[in-house]
Amino acid sequence: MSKETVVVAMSGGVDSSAAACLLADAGYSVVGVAMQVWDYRNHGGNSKRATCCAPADFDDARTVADSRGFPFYVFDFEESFEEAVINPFVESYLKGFTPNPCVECNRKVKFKELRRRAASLGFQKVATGHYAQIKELPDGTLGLFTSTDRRKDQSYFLYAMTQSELRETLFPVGAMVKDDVRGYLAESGLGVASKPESQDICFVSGTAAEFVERKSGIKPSPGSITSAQGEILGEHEGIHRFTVGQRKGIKGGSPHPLYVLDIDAETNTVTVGSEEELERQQFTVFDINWISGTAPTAPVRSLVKLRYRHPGVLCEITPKADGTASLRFVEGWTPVSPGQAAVFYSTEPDTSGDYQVFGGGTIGKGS
Amino acid sequence: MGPLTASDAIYLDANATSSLRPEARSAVLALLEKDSEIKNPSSVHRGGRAARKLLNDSRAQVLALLTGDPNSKAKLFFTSGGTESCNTLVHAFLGGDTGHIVTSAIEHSAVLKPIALLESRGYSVTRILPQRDGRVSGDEFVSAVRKDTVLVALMTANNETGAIQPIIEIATLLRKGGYSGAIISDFTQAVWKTTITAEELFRAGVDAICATGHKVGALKGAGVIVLSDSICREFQPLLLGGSQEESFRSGTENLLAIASFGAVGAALAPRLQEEVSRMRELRELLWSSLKDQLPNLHRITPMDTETEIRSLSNTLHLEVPGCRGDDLVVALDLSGVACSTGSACHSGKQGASPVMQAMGLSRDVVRLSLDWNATEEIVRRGAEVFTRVVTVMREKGSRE
Repeated sequence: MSKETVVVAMSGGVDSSAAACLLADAGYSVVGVAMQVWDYRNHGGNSKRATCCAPADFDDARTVADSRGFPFYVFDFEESFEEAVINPFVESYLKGFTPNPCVECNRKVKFKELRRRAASLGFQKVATGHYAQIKELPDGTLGLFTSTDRRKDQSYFLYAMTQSELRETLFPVGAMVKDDVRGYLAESGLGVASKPESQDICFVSGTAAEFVERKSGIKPSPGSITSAQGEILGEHEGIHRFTVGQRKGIKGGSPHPLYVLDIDAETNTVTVGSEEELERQQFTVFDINWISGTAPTAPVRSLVKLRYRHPGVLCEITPKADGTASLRFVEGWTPVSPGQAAVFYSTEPDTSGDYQVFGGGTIGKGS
Repeated sequence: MGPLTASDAIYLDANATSSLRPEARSAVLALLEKDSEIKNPSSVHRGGRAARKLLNDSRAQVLALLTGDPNSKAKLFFTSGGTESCNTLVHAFLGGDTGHIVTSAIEHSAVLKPIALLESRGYSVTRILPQRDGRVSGDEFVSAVRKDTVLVALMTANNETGAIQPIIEIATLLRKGGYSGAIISDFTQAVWKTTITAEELFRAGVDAICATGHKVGALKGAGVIVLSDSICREFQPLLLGGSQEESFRSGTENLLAIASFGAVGAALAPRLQEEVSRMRELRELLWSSLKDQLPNLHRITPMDTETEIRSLSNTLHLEVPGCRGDDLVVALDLSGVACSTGSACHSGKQGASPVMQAMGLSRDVVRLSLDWNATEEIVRRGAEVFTRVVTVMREKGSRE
């Protein structure tokens, strides 16, 4: 009898190592794949500062694979990653947005390119170490849900998944809590069990602004910091160093805290103002994915997370004919940063206490 | 698919490393048994003398294999392997701090990188691109040599495409034209896969060649440099120390690897012609089985003609449109066939090689290289698995 075959994306970290071992234990025919997405040595960076794709991390993954006796390979994704993730990341910053590259990596590289390459090798499924869950819904379609360990939940980064992707994907640690994941690896005698967390954007060492400058080759171009009324308050050294909603000190001080209200790439201007001026009633979201495959025909209420680790705020979502949506704050508000993901969750948990992800999109500049 | 072990695999990756030949294995085991009698070849005492005898016997055996002449007057000394040999040779004959170097764009990294280092330190470098058949043009290469050229480096045969380079023709033309700089050739892949001898290269004007034992069926860890006996230029060693190998290469010799290389030399030299012909027949069988069964398959390895052998006898480099080479290698590994896209890289990543880039090849390439113990049965089974895997990949990969 042939076993179900699965390619596990392994970074050499705790979660993907556990994911691979759990599947091997469960009887899957597992192949581990490390995704080589970026090489600092090829991009004028210091490989000792490299935060991802380090040979030592791949060796950790290799050790895990050897311990369970399944094959492990390094797949080269540098070309598609640069095209689908890095270049849009840089362009987005230069246009005054604050992008979320993890969403794009999942959408364009992990669950598209990796899945396609896995399929061409004859593999039925792809698994990752993401903290999220896939459940079958009463109508037979699949739903994406938050993880059991709510503090670790990564469903925010996965809103762009489609039905066919969910059907061919496994998240083996999604129903576990992190301590149990570490405990499971420790019991297996794997040193990776005690590896520290990686939190930041994998390919950025230093700040995102430094990365954007190095990759695009742009020189800091000074521009004005103005008030909403157009009064010049100071000078900045490049709009890509700012995020809307970010609290911003001004030279010479200000009687009240100032926040970035707007970033205008055309005039190279950053507008700042008080918290009251930051407040908005509504905003737009574009490039929307509805996980069910179809947009709702009437406005829906949803708990919307506007950044990773955001608790969510109640919004009314009005889908528009052009594929965008208008979101209106129903209860409370939070600063919205154009370029970040707005992810739509159910307002109530299911019987297991997990919230369903309906979809999401990218926050736009207009309202 | 069940768990496959390396020993079940059909091994078609001999250009990365050969399986240990039985003669090499016996030599290694014998030496392990005689550890109490065989010590440091540089020592004065009887254990040292026994070691020295083994070392020098091995030297003569390897020299006879490489030169095709049991009485060769060329000088051979041992290194730690191909990479050290290549690095040493690139630097060996450079007297000054500047000058011009002519090489090909398809050399092994062990030649390309030290030359790039010299370039960053003030040398100028011309890198000749290969033609469509994987060989550099002799005329183009020769015309790149200038008055200030101090080093010419061209491999005898390419490790990826298997294309034999016109090193003899080029060296002859250069020497006729009065070129007096150094000429070196990386001979690594040419051993046992061609009948070209180092002696032919030396007669044409090549100063030195290098090779390594593990590509021939010996243990890893013994490389060689062979200097033409008519050489009259100063040699600068890379490693300094205890003046072993007549000061050409300091460091205690790796006797296990060297003895195994010697044993391979002794066994292989008399039957080299026969083995090369046998490999060529098997390679052509592999090619004809594959092209009969698979549409749209391109052979990158040049075809030999009646009058000219143009390729390593064991190598078949293929372009397989619709199959990304690095994925194909994985799919074949999972199905029990070991091969590679080109040069093995220590990280396990398989990006586009300098050879593929220089030849403008797509990444849909794979290199099959038969080992010395290949048989018709292995070739037929290999072709069968290859055909099946490519067919599935082309079908599934075109999805979406």
